[in-house]
Amino acid sequence: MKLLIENVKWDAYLIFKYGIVTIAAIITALYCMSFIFIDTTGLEKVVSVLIFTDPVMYGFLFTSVMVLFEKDAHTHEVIAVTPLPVNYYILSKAIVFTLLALVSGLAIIVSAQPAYFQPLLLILAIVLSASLFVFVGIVGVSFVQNFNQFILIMPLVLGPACLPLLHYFDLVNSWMFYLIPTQACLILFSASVSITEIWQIIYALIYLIIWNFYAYKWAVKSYKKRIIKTDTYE
Amino acid sequence: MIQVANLIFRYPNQEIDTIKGISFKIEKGEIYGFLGPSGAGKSTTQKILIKLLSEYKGQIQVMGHDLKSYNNSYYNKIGVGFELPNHYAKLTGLENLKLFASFYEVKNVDLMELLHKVGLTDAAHQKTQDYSKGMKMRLNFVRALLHDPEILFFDEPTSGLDPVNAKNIKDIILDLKAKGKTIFLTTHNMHDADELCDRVAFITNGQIMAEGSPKALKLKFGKPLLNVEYQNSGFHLAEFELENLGQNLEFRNILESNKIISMHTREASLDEVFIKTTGEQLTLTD
Ligand SMILES: Nc1ncnc2c1ncn2[C@@H]1O[C@H](COP(=O)(O)OP(=O)(O)OP(=O)(O)O)[C@@H](O)[C@H]1O
Ligand SMILES: [Mg+2]
Repeated sequence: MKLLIENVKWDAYLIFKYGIVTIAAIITALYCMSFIFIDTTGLEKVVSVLIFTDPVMYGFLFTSVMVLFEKDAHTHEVIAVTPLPVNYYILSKAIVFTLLALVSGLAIIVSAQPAYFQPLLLILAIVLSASLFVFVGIVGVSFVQNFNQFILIMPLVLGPACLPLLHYFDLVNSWMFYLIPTQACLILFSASVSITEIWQIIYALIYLIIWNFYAYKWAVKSYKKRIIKTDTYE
Repeated sequence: MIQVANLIFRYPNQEIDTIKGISFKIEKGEIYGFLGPSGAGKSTTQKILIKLLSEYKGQIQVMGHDLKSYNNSYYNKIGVGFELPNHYAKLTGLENLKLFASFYEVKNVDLMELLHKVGLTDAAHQKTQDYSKGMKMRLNFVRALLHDPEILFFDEPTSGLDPVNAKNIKDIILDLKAKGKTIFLTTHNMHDADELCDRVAFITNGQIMAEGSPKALKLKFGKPLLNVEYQNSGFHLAEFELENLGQNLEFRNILESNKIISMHTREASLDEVFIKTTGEQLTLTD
């Protein structure tokens, strides 16, 4: 546990040094400013989608970038010969990027001042979605060697992840969207700013917890198998 | 301290074994050198010993326990110096050491003192992205020491260093030995091996071809020679084995009837022994 806290501290410092925090702050500031000047009444759906697609999905992008930076610097193999367990390494990334998404998301919602607001649901939405995207980011980045290759596989994740938006904006309706975890994310986000049926919230919470659990396992396995053990210079 | 018996290893994507059944033993307080040409399997063996590769066959005992029985706390006991630089580019040298130090149990090592040892005091607060290759290698080296481990693994510790810094690193390694640390070293540099190692193993193609102290190997496989330069209507050079030199008629003949310019004894070098025992020339990389 002590090691996990140490790792979180250093990851927080590193994302600051990599300029990730600055970029997140600029994006957040832009959204906050717009929402301060725009009356968002009736636009709750848009606000929650923006919080979902931005701070949260950036977690996916930022995690991947960070792991690629480290791959470039070959620090993974050094981390691997310290007592730090692999699952702490993964959890630390999830914690740091979830915190970043929380700060950013809460700042945006506060500036949007929605008429109906469930803070707990928003926090749950951000935490469960951001961590899921961090885990998926680590799985994805384990398959690639550099950023160019990463850009190629990005649509494989973001494409399906965005499909439930069709349902969310009432363009297409099908029960199949409920199989995609981002459907659950969207439900939680919109439940935080608009009244939602309870069965939907329960479905979303349970479904996201299950997805987080397996994505986490998969991330640990991917990291061990494809990032540490074959991290050679040749 | 380290005992390896019949170690066999194959990379999942390879057709043949990279390590073909090697056995060796390293005593506590010993510097053990792994020498061999590129691709021989030196780094692979080291990666197995530091648990970065795990699907091996054979027995490995470290500090009296099966290597497979260790969990991550193994890394509190061992230090690893990698072959190529690996640092967080955006962090300073000191921050890099602090970051890694925070993951170990031993925390009372003076990090500035470590940097001082390898001449990086002035660069302590500089980002490592601005370090030269040699500076990065020196930081690599001291990072292995920051938790005061019992066993040290160094992969080519002097490669890419100028002679002064290389000498300094070698002195530190000898110092570590004096403190009772056990050291596993891989290198292609015969001079370093000769100077540092208590025992060396020659490895080619995944097999150990010879093993012993550099001195014993040279004695066994190499012959010390005498080079004689003499004048006799022009300059000539002759080479004689030191053994039974007094009875060597040709040598005595030269001594009696020529003007001797110079005489030098030449010890057998580890290079020659290597070629003799493995039938291979070491590819020199530095
Ligand atoms: N990740 C890997 N996957 C498959 N084969 C590998 C891998 N790493 C090394 N090998 C192969 O294993 C053999 C031994 O490699 P190794 O890195 O152990 O050599 P080495 O003795 O350390 O060489 P060098 O002096 O160049 O560092 C080589 O033939 C190499 O191609
Ligand atoms: Mg090597």
